[in-house]
Amino acid sequence: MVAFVTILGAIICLIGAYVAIKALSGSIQEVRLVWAKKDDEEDEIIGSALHSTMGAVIAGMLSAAIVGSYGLGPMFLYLGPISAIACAIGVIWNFTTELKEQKKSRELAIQK
Amino acid sequence: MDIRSIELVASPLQPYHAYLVFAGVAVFFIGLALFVRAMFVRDTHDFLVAVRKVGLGFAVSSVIASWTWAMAVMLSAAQGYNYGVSGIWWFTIPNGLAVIAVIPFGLYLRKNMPHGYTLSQYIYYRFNKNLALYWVFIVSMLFGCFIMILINLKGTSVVMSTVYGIDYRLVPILAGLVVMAYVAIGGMWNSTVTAAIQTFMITIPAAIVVIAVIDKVGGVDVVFNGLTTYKDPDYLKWYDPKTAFAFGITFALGLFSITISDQTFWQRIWAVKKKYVAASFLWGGAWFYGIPICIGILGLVGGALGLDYVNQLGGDAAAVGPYVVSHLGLPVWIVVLYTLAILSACLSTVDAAFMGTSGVVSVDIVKRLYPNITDKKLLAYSRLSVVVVGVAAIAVIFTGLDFVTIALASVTLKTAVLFPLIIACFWNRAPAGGIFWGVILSAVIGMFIFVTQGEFYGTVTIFVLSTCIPIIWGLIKPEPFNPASLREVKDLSA
Repeated sequence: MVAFVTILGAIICLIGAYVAIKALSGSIQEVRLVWAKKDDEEDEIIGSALHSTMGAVIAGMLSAAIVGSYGLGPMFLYLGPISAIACAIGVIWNFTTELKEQKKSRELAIQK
Repeated sequence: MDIRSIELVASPLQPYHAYLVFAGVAVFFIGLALFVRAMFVRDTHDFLVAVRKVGLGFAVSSVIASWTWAMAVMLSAAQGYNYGVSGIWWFTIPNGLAVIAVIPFGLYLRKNMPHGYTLSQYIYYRFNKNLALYWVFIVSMLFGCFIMILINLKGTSVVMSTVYGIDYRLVPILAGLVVMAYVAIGGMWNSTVTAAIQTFMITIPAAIVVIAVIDKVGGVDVVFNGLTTYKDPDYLKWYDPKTAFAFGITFALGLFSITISDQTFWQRIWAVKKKYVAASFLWGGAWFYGIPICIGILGLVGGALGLDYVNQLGGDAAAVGPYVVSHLGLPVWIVVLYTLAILSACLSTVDAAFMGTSGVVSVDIVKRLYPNITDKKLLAYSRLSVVVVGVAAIAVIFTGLDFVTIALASVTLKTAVLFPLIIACFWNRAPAGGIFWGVILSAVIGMFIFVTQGEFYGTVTIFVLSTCIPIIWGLIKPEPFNPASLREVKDLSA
């Protein structure tokens, strides 16, 4: 079990490093555009308090259920490490969203 | 197999291993900071808020890493050890929600005051440049950041001394110097980039270590049987009301005050790309849950093992995690992985607190006192403030205060600012005088009650006074305010 989780963790870290480095590279380009005053996009604010509240409720309830399950039986204790790994995968997903957005911004800048 | 038949062994690690870990961390992060400075930092605006271009991935990991204090990694296990499942429950659930609760403030600020830097700066313009109120919030922000640094350096000290046997007094010096160096060099960009690395250094090792611990003691069945055999049945209940009153309720209130009325998060609100403000804190809070949910299990293992609070944990429940990991005879690399996770959690938060301090000092003190200061000098002051506060924090650590006591006292004090701030943001008739006296009186009277009657009554007193005074004052003597005026605030580089 330890070996499996370690290998899985190493793979996740490698993927995370890859997307983070790509995102960093994209950020460098974006900052250069700002410095050159070629980025005058005023982003729209996305998201509302309502959507955020719904997200908070789902996240809170799911986490409460996971912790509460620890007292129900031994197998539920594995949900802890699974949650930590899910966190890392979630961050990778957020980075891929950022990479897509950076690609769009680059294409817009080229068109300009 | 009986979990209490397991023979505990001394930690296999020596002080020199700790020096190697610190050296490796220092070389890596300071090297990264030098690269980041070359790529991203030209002026104070870049240093403090990263040109307001931090993308979603870096923003989310920055929120997670800066919120994963020593508290999240060690106190989750500590409360699991103290109270069982309900301890982990009360620690974890409000923690993630407290991060997500920042969203309404983030949306409000980026819409109405898009070129801000600090919470105290917002208060300055919100209340018509009222200096008394301004300085109350400046002091509160600086105090909050300072406490954050203290708690996390102290937490690092507990872990490293327990695991490596290193003199606990050396740890804050080594950790503090490393963070001071890379924050002073790279600023907010460096903070977010290192946070991404640290997020993976916290989450993946946490999963591996907990699996290894469970495996070492004989599996989940052995742990669970140990808990049902040796602990009270309430230990396995998530809804034990004793836990709620012992620490849960006051802790939850305090958590919201740490995120909402804290400069480290407000500075991130202004550093993130505007479109990602809500998403950053929503995902940051949601993904954060995985960390204390996982690490809290170490506290349950400690409880099942029957670790002695005084003789084995040195009178500090926060030591249960490091003790369990370092005394089961686990492979050295597992133990080192755990300390890297803790170190990452602590350093990322200290990093965020240094950035918060830097923001308040440069924008609210130096720039306010010397409006014509050159940007080069302002940037120098931004960096110098990091060093000064770091040195002060290291000096204070040597008093040897108990970790849990520091944490609970600090969250109680910050509650005095929470509700006045909420009222200030979302009630356009809030009066400056009401906000000022609400904060002052609730803090003074509340702390007196805290000391004499206990933290629950102290916290309730702070909550009631800090809410009622501004509202009653505002109903009697309202001061109308137009949020559109906040748009007049300009960037430092403007």
